[in-house]
Amino acid sequence: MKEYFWNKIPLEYFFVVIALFFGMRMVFVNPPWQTNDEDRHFYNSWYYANGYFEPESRDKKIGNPLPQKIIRQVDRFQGISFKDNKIDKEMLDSLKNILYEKTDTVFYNNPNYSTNPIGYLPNIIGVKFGELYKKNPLVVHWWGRAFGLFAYLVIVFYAIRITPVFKNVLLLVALSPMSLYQASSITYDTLCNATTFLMIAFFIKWLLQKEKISNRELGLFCLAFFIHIFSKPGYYFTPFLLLMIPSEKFSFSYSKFKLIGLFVVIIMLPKFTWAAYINSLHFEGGKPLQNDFLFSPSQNLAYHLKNIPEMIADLFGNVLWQGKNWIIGAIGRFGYSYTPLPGGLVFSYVLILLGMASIDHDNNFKLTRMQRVVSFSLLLASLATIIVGLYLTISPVGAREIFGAQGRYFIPIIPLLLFQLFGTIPNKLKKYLPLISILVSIIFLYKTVSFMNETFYFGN
Amino acid sequence: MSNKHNKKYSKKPTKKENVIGAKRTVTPPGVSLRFSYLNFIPISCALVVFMILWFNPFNVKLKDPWYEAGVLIDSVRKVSDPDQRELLLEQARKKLVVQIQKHPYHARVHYIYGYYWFMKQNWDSTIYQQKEAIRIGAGGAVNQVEYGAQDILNIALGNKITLLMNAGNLEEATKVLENATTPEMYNPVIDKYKGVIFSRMGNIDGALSSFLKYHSARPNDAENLTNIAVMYSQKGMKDSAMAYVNQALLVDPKHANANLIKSQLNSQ
Repeated sequence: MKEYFWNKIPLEYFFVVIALFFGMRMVFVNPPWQTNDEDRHFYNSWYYANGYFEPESRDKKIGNPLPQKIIRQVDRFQGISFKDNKIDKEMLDSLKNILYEKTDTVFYNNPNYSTNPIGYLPNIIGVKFGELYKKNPLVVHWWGRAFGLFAYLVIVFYAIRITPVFKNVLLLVALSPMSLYQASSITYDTLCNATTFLMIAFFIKWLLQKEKISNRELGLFCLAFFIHIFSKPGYYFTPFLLLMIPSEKFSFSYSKFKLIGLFVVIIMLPKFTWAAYINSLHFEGGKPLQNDFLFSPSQNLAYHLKNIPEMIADLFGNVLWQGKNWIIGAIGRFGYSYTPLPGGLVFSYVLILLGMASIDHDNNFKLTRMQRVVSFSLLLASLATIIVGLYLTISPVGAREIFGAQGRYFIPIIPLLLFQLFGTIPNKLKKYLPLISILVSIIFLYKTVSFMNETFYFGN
Repeated sequence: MSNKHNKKYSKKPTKKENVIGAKRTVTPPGVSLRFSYLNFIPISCALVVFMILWFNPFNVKLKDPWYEAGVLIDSVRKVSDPDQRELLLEQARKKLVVQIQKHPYHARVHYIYGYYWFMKQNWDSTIYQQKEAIRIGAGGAVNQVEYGAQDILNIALGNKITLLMNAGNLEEATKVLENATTPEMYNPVIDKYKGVIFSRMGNIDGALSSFLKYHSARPNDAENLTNIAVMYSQKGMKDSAMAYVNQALLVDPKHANANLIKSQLNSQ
């Protein structure tokens, strides 16, 4: 194969440069606390960075003290509809001079007091460093975001590096506008998405390699799954892709059974560690996240089980009705989810992803029919878990419509979805694919950052 | 790697494939391409699913009955024909009655039902349903229902109280106010209405206390600032009255009552 310059430099280095440049742009262009729930994620990161690992109960409120100036500054950026109103960059500059005192606090009734710190680890470190630099809410917030981005860069760099094939698809998924937007925000989604990509990369590497899987790599895989499961529940099936790998590649007997056991233990860990710790505090009251409807998975399930055909029809109906919104949300939806990227951009990006997944392949590697059946089953199980989970947990009791389901919830499933197309169309384009992926990423991220800048700020 | 697959592609080439093979003599080994329609099935399936989701050709719409009722009630505002309005409201009522029975625990359903009664100008039922919405649903961090419910409750309360006060039934008006109180959420407007009723009863201290309580929650209400000024004036505390009337005029320099009170205070 002729060596073009873009093939001489490994793709993961291109990833780092593009992600760092556009990710850092997004850290600042994305208005403060405007990613979904970022205000509360920031509060949690600040708490953990300042040693508040144990929530307190005061007058039926559950939370911890928080500097007043942080709350005031965060509140300024809530509920902005960017249709009639935008952010003034000069105002933003002026806010950088306000310093907060850790002694001047109010008790914040935290609806997310039970969230564990692992998903916030990079953000916590960023907040800590930010405070050392300047105790200003905005500045600390940007540091928190930047460290989330750095963690994402490191993990996804390693993922693209170790996978022998599927690199271009991983790059396009990891650099999709929404993935990078999430990565450059304060949220546990950053680690959740990054560790999914890493697990997929390990799986593909092991599927192709002839040597036995080293215990060190298996340990790293389990660590990724551990971080993943603590970051966000709901994505349980990706590690079970390892069931597609021949048993002989593992250096221990009854490998499949042991792996299933190990993964089940990891899945249960949050329940028996952090959740058990929070339960041991025996809190009563607290601020519910949403209270205009009754949310109760058990009551909801009991309600829907009375009419199973209608429940199934509702689930399919929701996919058909909300499918487009979910796709848009998975590729690019900003400003607390109220500002989607233009439809044409999203549509094109999906076509590129599907196309790339079909042609980004190695001629020497083909999946067996059984392997395709297993991976497709895991994909269906993952999608079903998310959709049914949303239907039962975040939708009101008896609601037909799935409430609050956002496309970003599907990002960890996208690599598995695209993997179904992997290696299906033979072609001779392999040497051009890295260049195509790099150019596509740059063009779409450039358009995304420009779109955000125009949509969210005055004076452009 | 699949042995099956390798076997499949190591079979004897067909005539057509020979032609392709002849052309391929210049390409390096290992990159030969053999297509089958089977290669395109996965991407075709993916594209079909994507297009269905994107363009929604079956025009599937899924709306919960309480929101359908909400849409019907909203649409009433755009309809001028009274019969048509009644028809739409009746359709909404039928849906909401069922939903309230099925889901009495949903604050949002009470809110929408209260909105229905509001459109029907049934103030008692409006107040009752919005109180229920606040009782069940107050205190959430997102999608709060209580603020909207309180706004509608206050308009209904204002209409109800005005009717009673105009009829001189001040005691009944006070009872309505007591009954409209929501322990789950402080409602400053009730204090304002209480102040008006007390002042009509001649209870200056009670009225002043209520207006001041309202003032601590809504400091920039020019009408309330004027009311406080009037109460102080009636108590003979001219300086305090002047201070509040000046505040009212700062908020709204053209406020008619405030200007009138100020001129009266100046002429005293």
